[in-house]
Amino acid sequence: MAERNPGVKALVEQALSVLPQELGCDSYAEYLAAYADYRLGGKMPPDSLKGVGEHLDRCDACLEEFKLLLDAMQGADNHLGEPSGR
Amino acid sequence: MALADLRATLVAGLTRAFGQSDFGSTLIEDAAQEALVRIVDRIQSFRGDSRFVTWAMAIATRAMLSHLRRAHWKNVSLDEMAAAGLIPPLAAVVSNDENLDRLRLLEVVRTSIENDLTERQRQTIQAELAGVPPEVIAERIGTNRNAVYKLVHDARARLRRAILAAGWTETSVRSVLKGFDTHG
Repeated sequence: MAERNPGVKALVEQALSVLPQELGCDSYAEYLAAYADYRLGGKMPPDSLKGVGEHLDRCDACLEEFKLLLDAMQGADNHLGEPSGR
Repeated sequence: MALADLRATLVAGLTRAFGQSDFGSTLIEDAAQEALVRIVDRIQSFRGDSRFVTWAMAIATRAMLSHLRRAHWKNVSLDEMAAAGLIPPLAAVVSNDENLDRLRLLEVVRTSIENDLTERQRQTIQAELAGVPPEVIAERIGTNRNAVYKLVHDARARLRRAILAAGWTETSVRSVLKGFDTHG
């Protein structure tokens, strides 16, 4: 499990980095696969997926999930004998 | 891709990501099966903006991780979770800390937590600080991950407003935060 840095420092850093509009954990997940494909292919995701990157910068739980998805896709692509990404 | 092939692909991916040795093959097989049901259920929502296998694996990864997180926090109440993330009492910090700027900032944060946040925001933000994942918090308070994120987002925005209203700038706060590496 990912451990968040506890205490005042983490809390204040999160407060400073807050954006007026952010995707929630479920909304972000709708675009996760598209974002992951760009990253797996070594390409910069387009601006339309900017909110996914912003969410990952601010949500440790989703960042952990994203990293696991990238790992899982390596396993899936090895299994399928396909190159990763788009 | 046939369902049996998709299932085998999910198992291969989950095994790579989560490691069969840590969780056992049965758990991974179960998670792949559970994910397969969800994938079939949601197939109409696949928009085609990613590879199908990536979309399916995202569902499987979330299913597996959520299962592990819920199991990890199964017997812990939200109050206990929140208590683990509590900011240390001011008195405890004062006795160990001679940095007045740090104390001033801590006091602003503590006052804002007490006065500006709702009880549910306080509980949620403290549970989150303790490392409790959003799906577990959501389950405990009877909502979804989006609502938990909104709760935390609004709480952070209130803290930010309170800090800036107290005369701090982002630069001055970040300067003080460097000292929290050893005292936070």
